[in-house]
Amino acid sequence: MEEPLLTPEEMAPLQELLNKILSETGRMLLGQEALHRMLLVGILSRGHVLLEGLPGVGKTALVKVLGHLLSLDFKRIQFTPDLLPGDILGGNILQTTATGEKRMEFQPGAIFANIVLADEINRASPKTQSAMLEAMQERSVTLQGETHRLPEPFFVLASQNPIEQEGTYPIPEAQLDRFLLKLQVKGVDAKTLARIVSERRRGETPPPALQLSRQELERLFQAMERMFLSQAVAGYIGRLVEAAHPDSSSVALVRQYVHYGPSPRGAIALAEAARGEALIQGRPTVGFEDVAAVAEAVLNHRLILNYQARLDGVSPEQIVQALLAEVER
Amino acid sequence: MSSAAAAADRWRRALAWRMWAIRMLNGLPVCLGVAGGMLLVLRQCVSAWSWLFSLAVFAVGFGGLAVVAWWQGRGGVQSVPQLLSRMDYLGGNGGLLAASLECPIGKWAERIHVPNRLPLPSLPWSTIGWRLTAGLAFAIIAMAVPVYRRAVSAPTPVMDISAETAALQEKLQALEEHQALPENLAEELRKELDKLQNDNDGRQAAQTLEQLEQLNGELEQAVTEMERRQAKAAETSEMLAELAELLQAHDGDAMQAAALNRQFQELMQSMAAENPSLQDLMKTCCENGQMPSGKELAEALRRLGKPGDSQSGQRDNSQQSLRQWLQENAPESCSGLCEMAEAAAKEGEEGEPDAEAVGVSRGRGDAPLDYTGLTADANGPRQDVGVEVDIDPEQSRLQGQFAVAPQAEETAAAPQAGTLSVGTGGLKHHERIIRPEHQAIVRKYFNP
Repeated sequence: MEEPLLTPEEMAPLQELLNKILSETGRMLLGQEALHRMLLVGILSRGHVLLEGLPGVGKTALVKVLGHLLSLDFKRIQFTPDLLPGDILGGNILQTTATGEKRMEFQPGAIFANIVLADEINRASPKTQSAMLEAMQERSVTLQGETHRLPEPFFVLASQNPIEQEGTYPIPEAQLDRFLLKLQVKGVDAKTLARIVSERRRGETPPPALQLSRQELERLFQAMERMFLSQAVAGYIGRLVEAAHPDSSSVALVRQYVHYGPSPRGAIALAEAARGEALIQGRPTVGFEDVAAVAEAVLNHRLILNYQARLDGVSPEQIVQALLAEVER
Repeated sequence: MSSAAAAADRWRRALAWRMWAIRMLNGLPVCLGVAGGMLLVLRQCVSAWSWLFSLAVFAVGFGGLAVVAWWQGRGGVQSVPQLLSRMDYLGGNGGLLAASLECPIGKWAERIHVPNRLPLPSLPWSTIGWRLTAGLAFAIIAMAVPVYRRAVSAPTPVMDISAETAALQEKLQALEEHQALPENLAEELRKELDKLQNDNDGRQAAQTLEQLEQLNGELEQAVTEMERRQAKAAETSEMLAELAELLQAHDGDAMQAAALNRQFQELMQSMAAENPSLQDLMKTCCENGQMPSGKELAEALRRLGKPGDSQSGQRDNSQQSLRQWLQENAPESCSGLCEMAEAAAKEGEEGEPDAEAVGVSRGRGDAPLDYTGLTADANGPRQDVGVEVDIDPEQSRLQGQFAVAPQAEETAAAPQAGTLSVGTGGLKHHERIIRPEHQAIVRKYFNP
């Protein structure tokens, strides 16, 4: 144990802050509290989040509100088939200096921001997608031998539309693995819709009443570093991920429908996301319930199902639920 | 120990018992089946079966099952840290309890919630129901099958042959006393008898009895042989006595008498070859230097034939028997004696006395003619009974005293009127040899 556990006194203001963020998000964007919570987990875990949902369900609005609340630099990239890597990463441009000397200067692309909204990421060509995903993994951009660090913190919040498949380039599974969470953005119920209709003129969100300072955000990240993951919970994560592999699983659904299970990166993501969930819960330790709470969002895009699953209509979420039910804690 | 650790320890114990119970229930049908099978086999093999054995079989089965269930159940029970981790989840502690095993959690310990009821695996009643029923049914059937009672053979008793061997010993001793057996044969028979008595362990009863019978047969044969020899010796002595008396009563010239005496001596010598007693008598006579008179010789010969019988001089004389005996036994050189005996027999046939006038003495006093009882004064002192005066003294001459009442042989002709009944059947019975073991009592009867 490198650092002692967060004391209740240290935890209390952090939890209060997080609750404020969630309540403010909920105030600005009606409904979808669970989604807001998972997105905050992704932010606390410094992971990239893929939002999948139908158009108009508030994906972009959510990312924009979150960026504003966290006082982070926010940029949006609308992915289109003709988008080039240079449009995202930036490039060297010939510039004339004050002394009249001409030299190549790096012009950062849209990716150089704390929060990058990659809207409809599946519409970009694989080449552009891979350039984007490389920056996500390395958190740096290398052009003509020069490496440019991306700002800290760096989050990519991508969105994609699951129904419009024509003219899209589905993200390969290897690249999907870079996303910490994949969140399904679903519609809201009639009651919430009624509130939206009555309280939001032209869909505009109300002005934010809260904005975190960088110090507060930094405290949250520091608290994340002190979240304790016990051996018991770590063992549970290991068993969960192992059971998601059809070769070594005792879960019937996994053996029947899963083609490939999550990678070790998936286990790491699960632990990190569970830490974020525990912090939101106001505890200094990661519990089994924290793992269970984030398991679906972490694992659903890391489970590669076989063709039989598609025929039988088995979704990754069902597989994850089966894993949570059958793997011993 | 914290409350959580204590609860985990209690939970562990409860889990251990529950796991044991589950294993027991799962193994119970198998145990009942195995115990039932063993019961079936044992009840057919062990005829001396009792309900205690059944109880023991089931006790051993259940005991073994309990041990195996406990042994297997131990592996299924998690350790206390593992249970604390599970309690962490069940109590909604968010990893605080699990973290407490690895690091101090400080004030967070106050927020640990120990669940009141910790889950235990349920007993598998639904899954083992039919198996348990089948096992129970099989065990009950096994106990209901009747025990195979094998016919128990009675233990072989150790045969007691002491009575038989004692009787044989007595026979052997009597034979030895009368020198009726060669010494080596007597010694051999005694050894065989001792061996039979010592080696008898009751297991070879039939063989022992057979050997006893064989031994008894040998002794009986020896007795028979002895009786035959004694009978022959007695007959020889009697016939010689008769002949001596006849010779004395012969009224011929001196030359003829001398010839007859010489023939008589020659006959005695020839008879003495097979009769040691007669041989001894002749030696005695030779030691004295002269042959005794005819009457004395007859007396001596009769005593020789019937030792202990002092009334030998009063025995019946049958010329016919003498004639026949001489014809059978006398050598050719003794033809004079044969002629004399034949003449005497013819003379006797012409004047035989009336049997009824003589009567038969049956001992002292009256006795029923059933040949079984004794007379009223059988054990009293001897009494001389005077001959009635009106009876012809010749007819009342005492012919002899007999151990048994005279009996007429079925094949023999009925006595003629006026003849002496003892002359036929009575004489033969009189001549019977009394068995050695009976001689003492017979002697006592006549000489109280």
